[in-house]
Amino acid sequence: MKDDALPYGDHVARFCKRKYITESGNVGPGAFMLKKDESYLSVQWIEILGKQNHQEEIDEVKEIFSRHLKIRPPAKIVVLNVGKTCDHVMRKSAYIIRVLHQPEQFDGAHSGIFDTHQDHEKIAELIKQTILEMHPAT
Amino acid sequence: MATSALRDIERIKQFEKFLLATTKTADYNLSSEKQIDLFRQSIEEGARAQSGHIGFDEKSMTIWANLGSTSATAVELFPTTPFFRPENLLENWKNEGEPGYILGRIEDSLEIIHGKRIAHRIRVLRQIVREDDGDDISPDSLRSFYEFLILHPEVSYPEITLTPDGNIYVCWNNFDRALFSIHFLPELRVRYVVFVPDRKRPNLMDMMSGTSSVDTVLEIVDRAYGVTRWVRE
Repeated sequence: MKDDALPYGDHVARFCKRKYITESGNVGPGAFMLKKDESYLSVQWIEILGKQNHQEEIDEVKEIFSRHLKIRPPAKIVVLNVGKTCDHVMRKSAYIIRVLHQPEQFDGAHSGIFDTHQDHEKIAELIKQTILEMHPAT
Repeated sequence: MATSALRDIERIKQFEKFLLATTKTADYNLSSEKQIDLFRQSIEEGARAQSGHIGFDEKSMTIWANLGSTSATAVELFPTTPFFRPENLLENWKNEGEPGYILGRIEDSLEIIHGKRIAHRIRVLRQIVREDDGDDISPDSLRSFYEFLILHPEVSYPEITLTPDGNIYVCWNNFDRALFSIHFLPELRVRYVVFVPDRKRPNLMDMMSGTSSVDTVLEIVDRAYGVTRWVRE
């Protein structure tokens, strides 16, 4: 249901545009900062996709992102563990962030990382530290 | 549309082309590092003068003259019709001409150690934003970054990326997991983050973030954590 918290053991994937990628191919903190008109960071809830293995999950996530985003190298897709990310941000900064389900009509896995506006830069740097996997988005 | 109106539009376009080309290539021969301010001011005053609100003052005339032999062309092309909108011209210059001008200043600076590399990197990012978002980097953020570089030309080459709003975000990483990041905002404001290992318990990280100005940010974080030891060449 909308606004349900994702289980701490589950994972989310976030698309990172080219403008956030460093020259050495890492993801910069801008990938975890909000635009002026955004209230949360859009992510895909991986486990709810119901795929057989992790490669299928990543392929599906890529397909979802490609529906409405321009994807060119070196754009990336990063994977975060919900519990690890929320815990890390709370332990290091005392800010509580939440990952909530935000399903849309043709995008049932759509979710959001909420409350990063408390300290955009610090929280973005902390989320970046919890990246588990990084995949080419193309 | 009447022929005279079409001619007016053509003249406006010609003038804009002239102005953009000039801002990318001209050497204004001004001694102050506040050249950009003066140049913007001169355009504004020139625009007002042409609109009949005020006359050119001596300073504006000097700056216009410094645009080179084309200054006569500028006056000749400057339209004096209702179609002319000084605010549009200023906005166009700010969005198109100013980033190019500032990048040229960074690139050509003899003081900014990594000026060429920094300018190249920002040009690449600018191109990416134009292609992906149909947008541009924030001229105000770039201007803040430029002012920071003028104050601290000796900084080592940082990681440079953008934020969702097209602002410049730079980060210096140290070998011991330390980092110092600056998010350049309009009006010479910055947001910064510092992560450094605790002096007595290096397995723990000290963290600091805040808002400051381009003038004081390095002084603030240096006083707290001595970051200049590793962000300066």
